[in-house]
Amino acid sequence: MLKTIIKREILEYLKSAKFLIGLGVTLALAVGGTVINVQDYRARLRDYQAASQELKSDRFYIRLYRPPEVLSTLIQGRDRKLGNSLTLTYLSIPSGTSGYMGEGRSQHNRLVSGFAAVDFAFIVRVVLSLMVVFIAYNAVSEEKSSGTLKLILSNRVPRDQLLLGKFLGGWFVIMGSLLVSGIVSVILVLSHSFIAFGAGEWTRLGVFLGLSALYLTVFYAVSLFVSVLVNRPSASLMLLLQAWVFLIVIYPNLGVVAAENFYTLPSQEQLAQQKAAAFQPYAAEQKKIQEDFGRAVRSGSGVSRELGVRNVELRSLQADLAYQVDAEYGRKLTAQADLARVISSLSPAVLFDHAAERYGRTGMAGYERFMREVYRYWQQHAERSKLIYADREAYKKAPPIEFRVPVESTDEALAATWLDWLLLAFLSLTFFALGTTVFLKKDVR
Amino acid sequence: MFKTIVKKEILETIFSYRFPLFAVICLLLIPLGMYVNQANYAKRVRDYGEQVRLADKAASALSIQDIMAGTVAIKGFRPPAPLSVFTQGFESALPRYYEFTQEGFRPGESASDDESILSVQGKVDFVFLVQMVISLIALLFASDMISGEKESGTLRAMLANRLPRDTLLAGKTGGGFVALWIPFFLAFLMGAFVLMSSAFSLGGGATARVLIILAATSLFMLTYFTIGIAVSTSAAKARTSLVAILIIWAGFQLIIPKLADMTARIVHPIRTETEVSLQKSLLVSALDMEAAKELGRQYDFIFEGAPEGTADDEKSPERKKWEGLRDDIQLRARERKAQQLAVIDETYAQERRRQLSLAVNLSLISPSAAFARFISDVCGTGELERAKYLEAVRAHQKALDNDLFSKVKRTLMIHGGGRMSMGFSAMPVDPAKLPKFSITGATIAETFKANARSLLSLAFWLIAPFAYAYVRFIRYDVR
Repeated sequence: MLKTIIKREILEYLKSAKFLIGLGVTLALAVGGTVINVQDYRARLRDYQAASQELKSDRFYIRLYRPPEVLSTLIQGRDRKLGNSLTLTYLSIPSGTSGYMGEGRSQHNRLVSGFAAVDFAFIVRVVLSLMVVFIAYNAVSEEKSSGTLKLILSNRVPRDQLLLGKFLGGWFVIMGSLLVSGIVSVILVLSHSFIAFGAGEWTRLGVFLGLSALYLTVFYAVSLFVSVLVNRPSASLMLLLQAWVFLIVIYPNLGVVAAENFYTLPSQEQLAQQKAAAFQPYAAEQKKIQEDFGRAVRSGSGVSRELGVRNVELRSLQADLAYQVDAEYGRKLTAQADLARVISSLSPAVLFDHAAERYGRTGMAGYERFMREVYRYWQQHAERSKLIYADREAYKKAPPIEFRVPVESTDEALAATWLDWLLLAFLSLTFFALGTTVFLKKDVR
Repeated sequence: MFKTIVKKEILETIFSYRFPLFAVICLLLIPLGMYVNQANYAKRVRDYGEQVRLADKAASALSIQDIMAGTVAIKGFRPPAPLSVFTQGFESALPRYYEFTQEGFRPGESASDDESILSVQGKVDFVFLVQMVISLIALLFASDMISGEKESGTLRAMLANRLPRDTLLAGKTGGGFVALWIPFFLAFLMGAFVLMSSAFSLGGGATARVLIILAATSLFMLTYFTIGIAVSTSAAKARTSLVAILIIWAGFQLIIPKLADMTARIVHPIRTETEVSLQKSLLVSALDMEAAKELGRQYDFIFEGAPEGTADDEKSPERKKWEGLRDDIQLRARERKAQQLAVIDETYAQERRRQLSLAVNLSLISPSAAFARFISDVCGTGELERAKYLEAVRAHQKALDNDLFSKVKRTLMIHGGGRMSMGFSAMPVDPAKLPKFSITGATIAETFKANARSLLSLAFWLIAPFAYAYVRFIRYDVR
């Protein structure tokens, strides 16, 4: 019986105009979006290679670059918006990145909006979830209003089997749509010679598709529940569309507003004051060192070893202390964003985005990891810069310090997102259970 | 008869399940959105004030040594647009300031890059709510106005009396729209009250613009309502019209604007900003190097064999000859650099204009995109504002080049054997007399002129569906 119901549901959906139109639109956007994202990735890769070639470091100005992520062709996240380059000296550590030529320079660019792109993640988050609502809003209510529900149940069809059959039938159709659009997108990405996926990328892609399936299941469960609850199809559709807008856009924003009001962040002037106050105990000594340094340069007698080394130490310390103030500010911004996410954790879209960016390595986690390595690199560079005065020959011969961009493994990404999976599964099961409970007692006459 | 039908439609809508739902959504979301955006605006105004004050302080302490060292970057800040409480538009994407240096201007960080997490999830502003929520509700309200009455049998009962079809259609449209508009208008008034009670100033030209926003939004709602009526007259069943309006809504809101942008990027791909900046940077380095070598050559030629100290003797004929030649070489180098950079900028600007023009023209198929463009320009957060900002930046750079940067000359020379030397000359500068950066916003007339295509699209979508509905309904089978 269950198989018959599932088969019937699948055939009905496949023949319906709304499914065919929805799938057509999904594929059109998937193709167009992927083509553009691949072009965009190629341009960013070219920029990265050109910058690495043309804008090299010298001993004083160190330029560090963050290469574009290959999975940003499917999950753009913030990869495009967060800068790819920074320049440091022993005198300063930037707290943020910029474009290769300094464009879009920002002091604290942790929280950059990035929802404009039509990437595959957008298609899942917005287009497919909307398609799920359109497909499922009248799964039960249409049958009730047309009278076929009571005819089916007048036979020996258990209600729970009927509902489960409807659920699975529609679910297979939605998963099929997800799979088709996913395969098309991946084929388009891999058809370019400059893109290759390793084992890590394939694993993360697989995990991302699993996440997408769970995300869509939540919306399907919600749609089925509302369809069971409300007798009129038009009423269930109106309710579902408002719920969709609320869950995808409004609720996440409310979380952001609440978090912003909870945390008060210091202004730019307060940050500048904090930096000055942190260095205050050393300010008098630095002033004296600067004067002695300037006198030594003007007199032509040369800067003594002790004076030179102490000058570098104090300047580096000043940069380090300023960086600590910026880093603390950044931690508060991150905490604010985390609070916003916690408040909005019942929004499937928020859970999906957080996990998707993690798997695509296009979110804040990868960026913060890069910045931590930048700081570690700077410490080594500052230490080495003392050799300018301590031992100039050794300084000239010292090999360049290696900078390796760290990457998060798939296991680490999964460990960081297990709660997102749990909450999405919880939402799916809850709404399915609610739908089943209501349906078991529903008056179908 | 018309008044009776209007009254009937208003009462029927008010007593249906949909009306209280819509009223709650409007009365909750619109004032809330205004409050949130107003708080965000107030924060940006405070930040703007502080940063202008700090920048003015830095500019007043400007010394000629800073300019000579090339460490001067004068900043020009863009004030936040007051009407961004209605629509964010490009407000968060535009640079908050530009830096002006001897090498030209460059953008600073944008508002979305810094400090506030309000930009994280997208912009829930008044225009977004109207586009995504109210437009959908307008379509839903109208979708079963004709087909629903046909299914229930009341349509033929009404038309069995001496009721002209056109009167019935006009009455239904008018009455249904009025019932929809009243809660929206109340919510708008509440939102305006929220703004005014937060000491938000609606003085000057802002009041006229707010009234334009109200009028345009009302017409936008009417547009979607008539589209819903047109769909309803095309369908025999309410269910069919429901599916049709969903497809239309998704198409207008999500698909057409995205597809327009995507098509434009595929048809007219452009280079990245980085590529262009790098090209300019390499060009500038090459031209500077060429000029430095030429200067070095001329310097060596003039002062070769001259007694020691001749180069420092302002009265020596060699020095006078050198200064004339130096100024001439530097002038020609500057002009050549400016001309070649202008060619690169103009080519890139043309590429972007072509792409943008195609994207805009395609997106105007959607009345929603046309509405958003128009309202953004009315609020000073649209494409027009971006153009005015850039115009002001270019004018200010030119003014600073005349009043400040031209007072300092740095002369880099590369002599035979690769030896380099740098000379400086500077004239006194009074920082208090430097021009202040300001942007002249677009007038209402300019806004309307620039949005002629958007207004045409909206007018089309307002009139054509109603005309279509009229023609269809005259022949509609009511049995």
